Amino acid sequence: MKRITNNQSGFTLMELLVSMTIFLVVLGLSSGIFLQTLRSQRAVVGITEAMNNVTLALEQIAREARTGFAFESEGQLGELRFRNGFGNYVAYGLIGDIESGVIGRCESPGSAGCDLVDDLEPITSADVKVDSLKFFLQNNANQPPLVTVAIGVELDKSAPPLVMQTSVSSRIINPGGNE
Amino acid sequence: MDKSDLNNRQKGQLLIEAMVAVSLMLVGLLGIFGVLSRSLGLSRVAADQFVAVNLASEGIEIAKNILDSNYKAGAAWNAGFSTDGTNYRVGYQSEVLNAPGCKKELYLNSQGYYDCQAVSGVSSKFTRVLEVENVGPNQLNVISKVNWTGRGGLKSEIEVEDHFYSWRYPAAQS
Repeated sequence: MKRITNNQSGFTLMELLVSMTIFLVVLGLSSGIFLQTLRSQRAVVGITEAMNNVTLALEQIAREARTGFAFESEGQLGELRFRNGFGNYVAYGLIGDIESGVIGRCESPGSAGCDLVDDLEPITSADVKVDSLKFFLQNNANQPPLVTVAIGVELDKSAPPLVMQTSVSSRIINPGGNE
Repeated sequence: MDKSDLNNRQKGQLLIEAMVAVSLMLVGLLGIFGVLSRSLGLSRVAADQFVAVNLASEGIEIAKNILDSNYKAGAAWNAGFSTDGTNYRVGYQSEVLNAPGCKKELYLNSQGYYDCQAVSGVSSKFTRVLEVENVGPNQLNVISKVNWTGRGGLKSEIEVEDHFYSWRYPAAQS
């Protein structure tokens, strides 16, 4: 009788300690790895999202400016204004103030249709923080209009923003003239 | 005695089994973690490629702008491009190939643009050269090459090629 009771009595303190230690170590390691994995997964998705949005916006601006004419003013600009291939008035710029971080576009058949700040409609996601949008417009009699677009985007809070830049030369080299 | 011996041996096996199981699990988890952190690195490589492609197509557009400027000025259609070469440098403000001070390294200038002039610029990792190849008197091939070295020392290159023709001009006799 006594033997049986001894056999049935539960684990010793030593066994309990060892098993709990192993359990805790495993739990700590795996949850640490899991958290780190979640974090890096979020970073990857963020970078992909940012690159997709910025590339799309850059491509859209470049395509429209390529067949554009009647570009307004020159030099460094925060907002690009011209008439597109359909003859409509188009404006690109950051929506509202620079804090919003969203690129906007406006198209209007009338020359004053894009003059209000609210006229710009977003073309990038609100989840992507566009740090800067700059246009450099070379608009003179010696060359076709050449638009340089530089978009700075925040990929990582600790790193400086990544700058994506491209230039596009308008194919309409003699607006109003006989081609 | 027999019984306690047996019991002890069984306990030892239990511990070893547990340790094997735990280490197998950890190896698996570390594998997943390794793949994910590699994907983070690769997404940065992809970001660099996006930048490089845009810079390469900028080189082509600048060449197009110079060629169209020739037309506006009434010059020969390929003025400045008539000599083949593999090491032409341009920047976003260039009006000719190899403008004075224009280097193949690209610098982020104080206004925030990638420029070929080193003045007041922070050097970026990108370099760009244009290759010019004349194919007969009426065709011109321009290849824009952007090179950079990534974070892990990985050297990469993006190449964009475009062909220009003298369609605005009466055909030259070959």
